[in-house]
Amino acid sequence: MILEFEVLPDEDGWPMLDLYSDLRATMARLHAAPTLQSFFDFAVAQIRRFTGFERVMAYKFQEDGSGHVIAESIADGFQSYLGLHYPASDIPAPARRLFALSWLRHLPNADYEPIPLVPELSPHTGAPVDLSYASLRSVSVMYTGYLKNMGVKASMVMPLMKNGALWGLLACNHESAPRHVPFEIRMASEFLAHMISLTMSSKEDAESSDYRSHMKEVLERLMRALHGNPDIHAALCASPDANIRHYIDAGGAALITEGQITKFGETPSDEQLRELAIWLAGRDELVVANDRLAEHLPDAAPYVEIAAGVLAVRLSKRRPDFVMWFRPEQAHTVQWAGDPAKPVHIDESDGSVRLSPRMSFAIWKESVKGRSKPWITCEIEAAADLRWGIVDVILARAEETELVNRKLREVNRELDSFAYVASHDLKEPLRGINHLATFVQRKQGDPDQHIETILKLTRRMDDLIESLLQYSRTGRVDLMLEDVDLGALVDEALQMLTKRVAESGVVIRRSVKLPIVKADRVRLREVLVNLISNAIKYNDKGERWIEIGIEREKPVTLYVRDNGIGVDQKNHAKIFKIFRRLHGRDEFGGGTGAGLTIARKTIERHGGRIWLTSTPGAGSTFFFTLQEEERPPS
Amino acid sequence: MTALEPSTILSVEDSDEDFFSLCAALEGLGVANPVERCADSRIARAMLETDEGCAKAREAAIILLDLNMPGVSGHELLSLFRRRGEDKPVVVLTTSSSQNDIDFCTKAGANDYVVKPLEFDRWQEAIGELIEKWLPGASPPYRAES
Repeated sequence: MILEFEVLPDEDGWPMLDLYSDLRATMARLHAAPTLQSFFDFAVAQIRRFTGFERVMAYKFQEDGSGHVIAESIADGFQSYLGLHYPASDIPAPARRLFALSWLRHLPNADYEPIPLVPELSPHTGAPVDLSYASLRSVSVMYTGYLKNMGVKASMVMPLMKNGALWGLLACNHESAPRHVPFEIRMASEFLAHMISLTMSSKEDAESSDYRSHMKEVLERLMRALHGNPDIHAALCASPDANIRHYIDAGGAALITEGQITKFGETPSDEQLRELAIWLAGRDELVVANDRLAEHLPDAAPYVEIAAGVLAVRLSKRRPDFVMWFRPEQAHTVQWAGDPAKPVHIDESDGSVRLSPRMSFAIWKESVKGRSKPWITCEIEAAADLRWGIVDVILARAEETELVNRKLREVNRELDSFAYVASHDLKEPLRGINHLATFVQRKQGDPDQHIETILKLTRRMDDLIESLLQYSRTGRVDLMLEDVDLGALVDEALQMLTKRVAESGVVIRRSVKLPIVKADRVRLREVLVNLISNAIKYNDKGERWIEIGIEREKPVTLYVRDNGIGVDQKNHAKIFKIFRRLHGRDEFGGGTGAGLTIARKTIERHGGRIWLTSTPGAGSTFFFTLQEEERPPS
Repeated sequence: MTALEPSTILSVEDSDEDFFSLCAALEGLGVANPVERCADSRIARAMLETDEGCAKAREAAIILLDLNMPGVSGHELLSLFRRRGEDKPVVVLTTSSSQNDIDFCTKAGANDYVVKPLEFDRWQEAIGELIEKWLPGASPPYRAES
């Protein structure tokens, strides 16, 4: 057992605190603090009020063990250390570990004389007595030396813990005289430090969650812009409050795609950006987070003040396309009021450089030379999220473009063969006209006969041209979709063919009930007229019949069946090609050979399909649908 | 089918006007060879695809083949005819100046490829050249003046 006794300080000079209600009021205000900064501002002020120390500071450690003063409360006439950064060596790792062990360490007098423990080794165990948890335990000479150099006569230190790890320190210093803080006040301070640690964690998490939700919101807006705007630069940079600069906390940002650069804030020059992009592209990572660029890329040294750190996401596998964020050199941005260009204190007795706040700052500055504030995990994740979003949109757009290209190639091919067929088929009658006109001119043969043929050929050319126009219209003009009663439409088509039906003596059989479909009424009627008139024309039977009905309900599949001459299987594709006739020009009533081509175009524009089954000599059945089928019928 | 005279020009041609022009050109050139026409795809098929037809086609001096005909393409007929091992000279006589058609016909074994000219005089010249090339001696040494 170790018993510790200490002298009770004078009652005089100590504030008489109603500790309970005071602490309660303090806790309430700490909870209500809107930001982490205001939280600590208030916390250090309260601790100074409780303890009467001349200086109370809140330190925050960085991952590398260095730290800086984030809040401070000082008595009048003291130099501020607020914003002071100091290197990891100032409070070395063993000291940091020790601070984390106990909730309060108090050194009433830095000039105390340590007294050895007698006996040094435990008489029971023969081992040194563990004084880690003893409050009167002597402190390390390094620590007292540090305090003395800082001009500190008394100190009290309380750890700030977050998730079981040392996050920072609450450090109280007295510089004018030694100061012994009474037990009750120490307990109150310890309790307060405890509560500050707990509250601070949630405050800090809330701040980072605010940051995260800000990034999420900006990301959503950026994605919406990307989906709506084909120009990635416009989408990511045009909005004044939802652009890449806004997305992640940085001094500057840039978007580089296909040599085009859009910049925000403080960034390297265009040329430097291009070189940086090429360097980044040479690395494997799709997301690069670097807070000391010049160490890896010497060329980046000239712009270290602007971009010591870069967070970059790659947008293209083939090109050096990136979104980048830049952070300036941290030492360049950190201002400390206590860093006037005063000469360094040299200890006159031994000539060694004394550790002092100013020295600490200088050492820290040196240690973070060329480095930016590090990129934190949620920022790196946010950058990666944006990258996914952009790549997704780029990919979707590439697929779209590919689809359009494919369609375009198809249309081009179609147009090509169309132009070929059209010109070819128009040339033939034109040549006939030319030759016959020559014969008439030269009085060769029967001029009346020639002129008769010339007239016939001009009519043929007119028919061909008319068919071409109709075909082109079918492909070009928008469909007027409406609910169309197929029964009524078949009636109309038959009405238009009354004369030919009567002349041919064909018997029409049709389903009484035909469904209602979504279609362009006029064009669909053209298709029906074409199919029915073909069924009448291409028939050599004595008793001709045509049957019109529904083959399937889903999707609606209409058929026109005849007992005509039929179509050989190998010609099924051919009959849909423009101006391709299977029969001589005047056989089966003639025609230009565009009817089925136009019908197919109409059906395809409805999203449907037209096809036939046939037994040559016995008849054909033409089927069509007006919408896409779930699977093609076998 | 009746046998063809050995000097027969066999014309596979669906267009009445073109066939008329062909005959007019031959007449103008003073070519007296008989001309036999296949105006119909079925007859053309029978002529170039069947044993009997081919036996007859073999009797002709030359075959003039149109490419674009209803029901059958000259490409197809040419390929079928050559695939049967027939080596009778076939000259494609067509409206098409498409390189695809030219390449196809050359590959398929056409002996010559003539694009039908618009004007009759050019047409007659073209016919004259191919007759001179493939039926030497058929046309008189003098050229009919127009």
